[in-house]
Amino acid sequence: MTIRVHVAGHLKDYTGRSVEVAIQGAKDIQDVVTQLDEMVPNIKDRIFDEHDRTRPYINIYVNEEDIRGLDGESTKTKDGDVIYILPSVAGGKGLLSAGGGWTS
Amino acid sequence: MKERNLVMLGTKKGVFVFESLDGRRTWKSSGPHFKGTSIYHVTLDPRSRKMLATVDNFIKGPTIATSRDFGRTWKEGKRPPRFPKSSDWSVKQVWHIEPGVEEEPEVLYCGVDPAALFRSEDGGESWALNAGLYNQETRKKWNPGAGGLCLHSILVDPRDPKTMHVAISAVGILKTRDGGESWSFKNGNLRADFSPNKYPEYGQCPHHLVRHPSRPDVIYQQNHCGEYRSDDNGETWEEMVGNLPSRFGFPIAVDYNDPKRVYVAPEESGEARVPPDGRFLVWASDDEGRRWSALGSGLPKRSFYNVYREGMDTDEEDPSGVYVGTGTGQLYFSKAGAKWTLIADGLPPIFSVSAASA
Repeated sequence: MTIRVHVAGHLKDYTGRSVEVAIQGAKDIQDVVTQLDEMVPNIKDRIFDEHDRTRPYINIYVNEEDIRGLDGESTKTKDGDVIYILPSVAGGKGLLSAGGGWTS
Repeated sequence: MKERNLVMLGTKKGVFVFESLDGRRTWKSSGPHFKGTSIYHVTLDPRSRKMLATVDNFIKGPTIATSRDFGRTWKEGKRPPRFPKSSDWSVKQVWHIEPGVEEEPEVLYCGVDPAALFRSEDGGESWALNAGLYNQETRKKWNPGAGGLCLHSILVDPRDPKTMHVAISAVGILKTRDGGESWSFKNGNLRADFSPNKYPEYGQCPHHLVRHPSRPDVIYQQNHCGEYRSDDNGETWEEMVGNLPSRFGFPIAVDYNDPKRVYVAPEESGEARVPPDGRFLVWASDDEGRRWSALGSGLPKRSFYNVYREGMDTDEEDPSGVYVGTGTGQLYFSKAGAKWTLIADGLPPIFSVSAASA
């Protein structure tokens, strides 16, 4: 049972030069990310928030299907699946509030 | 004079470090470190000489990083500040990082949005939520300001680490005397002009707090509704608006050698948020805020600079250097405000300025 996981963008800071990781026997996306974290320390925290929800600007695809249109982090996985964990395309507007200046 | 003067900038696009080895005459810079990532605050821990940075990457989420080589290389902690799973809150941004006292060399604190305080006992590798503040009885009534529900100022009493203050935008100032077990508001005499009740128990909007290093009972505050001083370790506050052109502004800094000398950078109003009369000026007082004078030598005659809340700091030299970083990427320096020189221009928006000698 092998599931291939591809990561890109900022997440490659954690995987080093590797962009593809093989996972064995993961039953769903939660399991995939948990196993990935065992192989790549601290990466789970960068993919999920503290409630195991996918961060807003991270997209996870199972065989090119966005898990937000499936069962989210509970989306089932099986042998042969290809998982993509990618930063979303975003920009053109302040994503975070300005650093303390224009704030009250 | 110390061997090395450092000015650390947190910017919208990373950390920049300026270093002078000749008594602040010339500066060399490095950066951006964390290229493309918002750094709300970076500072030097005087105990370990490690640099500490709050790293807010909008894709990867917020974390804390440290550097042992004055910013050349950085390492992220293993367990960043995170709420427990039982909480319905999630850390959006890390705003401020604060070293603990000398006797607790591995202790650090950080403030986040939504408003919470975290403590590390291992130099920033892992963090634990301060439950006392999180469980403060009014927390569920706290409402965010324009920049979020951010805990942006942390003052640890150097004589007693169990005594601390935190400041939260649109909530106010809280103090603990028992190491964070319990917290009480210290907003007496602080105005809330934007509220129906002008002097509520909480709901004021502090913008920045600084404590004087040699007189720890003296705390200065730039608030949304005025400039204030406390002479009793943040128990009570006295307004010190005096002849300033505005009550409104974000940064405030105190002269390292003189606890009566304080600097602010007023903006016209909370609505306009531009320098009064279209000219950016730093103002200084030598008498704890009773009389103020404008320090404009070397600054443009017409300018619409803004300075964020952590955008001004002083160093430990004599005369104390004053450093101002603007929201449009200029870094200015002066000796006690006498004449400003431009250290750098063309930087990303500067969120924080921290000066240190090493």
